[in-house]
Amino acid sequence: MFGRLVALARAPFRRAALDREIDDELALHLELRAVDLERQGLSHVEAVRRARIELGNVTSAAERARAAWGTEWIDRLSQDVRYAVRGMGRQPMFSAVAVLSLAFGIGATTTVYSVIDALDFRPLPFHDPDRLVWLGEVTPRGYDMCSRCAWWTASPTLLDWKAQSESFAGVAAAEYGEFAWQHDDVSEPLSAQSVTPGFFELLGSRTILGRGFAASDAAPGAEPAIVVSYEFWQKRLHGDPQVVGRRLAAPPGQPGATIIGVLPHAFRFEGETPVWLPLSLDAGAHRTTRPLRVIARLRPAASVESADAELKTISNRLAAAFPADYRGWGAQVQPLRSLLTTGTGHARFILFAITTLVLIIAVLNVAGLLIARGVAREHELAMRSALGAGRGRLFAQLLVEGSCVGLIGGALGVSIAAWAIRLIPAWLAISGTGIAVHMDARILAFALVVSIAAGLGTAIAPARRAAATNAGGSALISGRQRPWQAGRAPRWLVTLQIALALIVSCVASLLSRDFMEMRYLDIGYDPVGLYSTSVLGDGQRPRDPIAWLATAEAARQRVAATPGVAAASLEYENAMHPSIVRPERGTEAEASQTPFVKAVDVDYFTTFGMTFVAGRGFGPEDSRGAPLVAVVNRAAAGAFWPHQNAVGRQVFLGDSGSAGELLTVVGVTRDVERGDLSRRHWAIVYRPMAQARFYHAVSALYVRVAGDSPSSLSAAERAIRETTGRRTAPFASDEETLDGSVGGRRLNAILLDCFAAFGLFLAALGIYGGVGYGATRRTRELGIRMALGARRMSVVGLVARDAFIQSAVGVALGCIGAYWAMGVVRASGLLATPMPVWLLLAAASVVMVVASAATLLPAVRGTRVDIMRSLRNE
Amino acid sequence: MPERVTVVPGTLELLILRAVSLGELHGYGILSRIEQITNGALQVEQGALYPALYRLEQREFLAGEWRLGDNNRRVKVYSLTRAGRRQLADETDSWTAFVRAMAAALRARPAEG
Repeated sequence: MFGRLVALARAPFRRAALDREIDDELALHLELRAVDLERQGLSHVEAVRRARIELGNVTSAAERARAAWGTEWIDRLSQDVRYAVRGMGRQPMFSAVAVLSLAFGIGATTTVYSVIDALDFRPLPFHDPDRLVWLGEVTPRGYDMCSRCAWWTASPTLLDWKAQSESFAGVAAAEYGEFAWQHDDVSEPLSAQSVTPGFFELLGSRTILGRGFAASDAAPGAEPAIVVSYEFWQKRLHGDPQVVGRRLAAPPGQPGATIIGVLPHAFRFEGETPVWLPLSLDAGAHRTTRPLRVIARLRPAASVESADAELKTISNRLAAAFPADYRGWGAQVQPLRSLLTTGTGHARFILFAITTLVLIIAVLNVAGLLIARGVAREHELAMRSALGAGRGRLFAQLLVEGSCVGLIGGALGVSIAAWAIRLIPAWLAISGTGIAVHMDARILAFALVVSIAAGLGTAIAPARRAAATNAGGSALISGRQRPWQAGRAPRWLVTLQIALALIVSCVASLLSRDFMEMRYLDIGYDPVGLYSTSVLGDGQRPRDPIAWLATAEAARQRVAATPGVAAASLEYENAMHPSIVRPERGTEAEASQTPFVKAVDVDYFTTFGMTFVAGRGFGPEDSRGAPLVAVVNRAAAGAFWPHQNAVGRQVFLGDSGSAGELLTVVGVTRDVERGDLSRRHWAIVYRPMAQARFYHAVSALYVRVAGDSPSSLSAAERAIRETTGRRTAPFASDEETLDGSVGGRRLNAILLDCFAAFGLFLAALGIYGGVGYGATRRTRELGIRMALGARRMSVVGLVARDAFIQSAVGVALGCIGAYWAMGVVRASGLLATPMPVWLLLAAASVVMVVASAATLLPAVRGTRVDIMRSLRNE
Repeated sequence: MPERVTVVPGTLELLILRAVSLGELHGYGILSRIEQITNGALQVEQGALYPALYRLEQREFLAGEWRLGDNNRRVKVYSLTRAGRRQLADETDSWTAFVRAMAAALRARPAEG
């Protein structure tokens, strides 16, 4: 058996040699036979002739001999391929439609699959990634950010996990941070990650220069150490070979840090990080402050499940010991992949489903076209069959033709995908995962499989039909048609296409409508002329926020005084604090989300151009020591006091364990939409900066420019640098940010709509072809009917009726499927707007209209036949 | 000369194996040997010989080898492999059994009484 396989595999390469051997052997045979015959008394010429006759046709003998060698399939295949390509060349329109349909389908599917492959299947770029896990807490049920979601954790919790667990060979943690780099008389904030000693080693990475962090680096009083990324080393430190030991200076009053190592090229952990700092775990920190992302490597004996069970046990123990800190919280162990892909959402799966549906429509459509074309080819096929082609041979030939279409479409599709893949990270928000998406052998293999499957998919139905009609081949040769029994494209073909097209249209328009709305909806403020930058505190955590507030306020006043600047305002916000925000009376469960709390100055609402629904903004009277006040936006007011006047009510702000504060609401603003999908209509509580408590000095500075005067912005930047001693990020235009953030979505929307339109177009094409084909098949019957006096319209109805029924059934099925699919999309949380039922009805009407047009056109044309000629043809 | 009959389908390969088992042969030699051992009673269709030979070679019952024959001609000589020898034995047994059964069937007379 093995030998046979080897022979088969080697056959294509040995073909020429084999052919020669067979020829040699047959020649020898002829010669020997002729000699024998001559010996029996025949003349030489006669003997040679007889020998030839006896052996039979030499070519045919060689052919049969070759068949025995098992190499015949190569001949047949190349013959079929040549035939298929010639056939495609003969009908360029048909071929172009078929190839392009499949190319778009395959290209889109491959592009989206490349993302899924990178995020979900490809091994992570770490050593033995299957043994790496993520340890996280799990939010309580009904937690506002996310109910029962994996969350980060706190230092003391991590230390307890580490001490009490046995599943892990190593545990490490990372926390987002910042390093202020003082150079060229400015301080530049670098985004950093603080990691525990052993973090890089746990992932299996080594520094290419110097060393990673040791326990001593994280010890109190240690010389500050820093590890830089390869990219930072190359670009910002000019690849200095003596970089280890070099100091990165910090602003006055803060220690700089000494570079102790350089990470390898392209090391990523949740995005690119230029600098890494040592992290020491503080056993005395709050258990409710959860900034740490914890990774671990499983011991050989442990599995994700066993580790998960162990961590849950430990977590329960901790919850019993510190009930206030862990109320409702749990813990879990998950593969590391899930940490890196959180936040990427389900968009890729929905897109994949949509592209797959479009591909299926394309396949069905090409199948329909092939069947329609089969009318013209039945004679040809019957002829070939009559000339001795086996049924299997014809079947194979049609499959080869389909595969050719599929492969050419696939090749085109791969080039489309190679282009589209570069745009994908921005579309699907995966740039933050640090996982690269690129075209490689895996993706090509996927495209190849899809192409062949699509190609075969297009050919199976026509091939089966051809094989079936072949039985009546002789009848077909004479050109006689069997109008009533044969000649209908399978009914489900059109029905299925219509149903799928409707589903795709609905889902796509649902998503694209959501995307488009972002741009046109009432955003609650005036983005034109509004610019923002960030003013970061001195260093990572100012010891004295109040003192820093004075610096920031001084900078703001200088900026506000700059010519051309109409107003300038500061905003402080912290996503994590305060963690409890609720109406004074009422339970936490009542509010569906925790509002963001922003501390703003008195000019803030003016700078933004926000309008008030009720009450007032802040004034100088809302100072430190005065009664605590707040302004809420409409979303917060609606969540806390539905259908009631919010002004005069009280809001409670606090962290667990702290006493908290009660703020009296003095005003309600309209919802401000700054183009951030995730915060759409998010509840916000504003409080006067003078009364606020600062947990982090993260702040934004907003500037409203009078007229178009960008020069005032550079003056403002200078003012900030002089006051704070820090270089600020350049001012960003809110208008552009809004356009940019919407731009990506608009692209998504356009793309989705293109898919939907394309799917619908293909389905229409399928109906058109199918009805036209039906009319062609029934030419004779229709001719007779019309000759007998049937009115034209009734004949059109006769032809179109089937297609109408098929379309209607398709639309009905599609409605069911689309309703379900829209529900799935909605459940996945992709939508910011509610699901409109009218959309379904609108899409259904559009599909039905398109289907009707595609039905009537060919039906009318089909009945416009010359009656007498069609009858005479018989 | 006995009456010539054509080879029963499926028996050609058995005949080839038998012919080669008597000694290495080239293709035409096999044809002659078959005629010889059947006393010329069996006529092998010459065109069918070579496909059968290649099939047997592929199934590794025969081993083909190119040699230099008389007049410096390249000649492909077939010999029986061990698997071929076993196959020949098996097929011979079942063929004999078949012939015996057929003969018995054809000789049978209706039982008397």
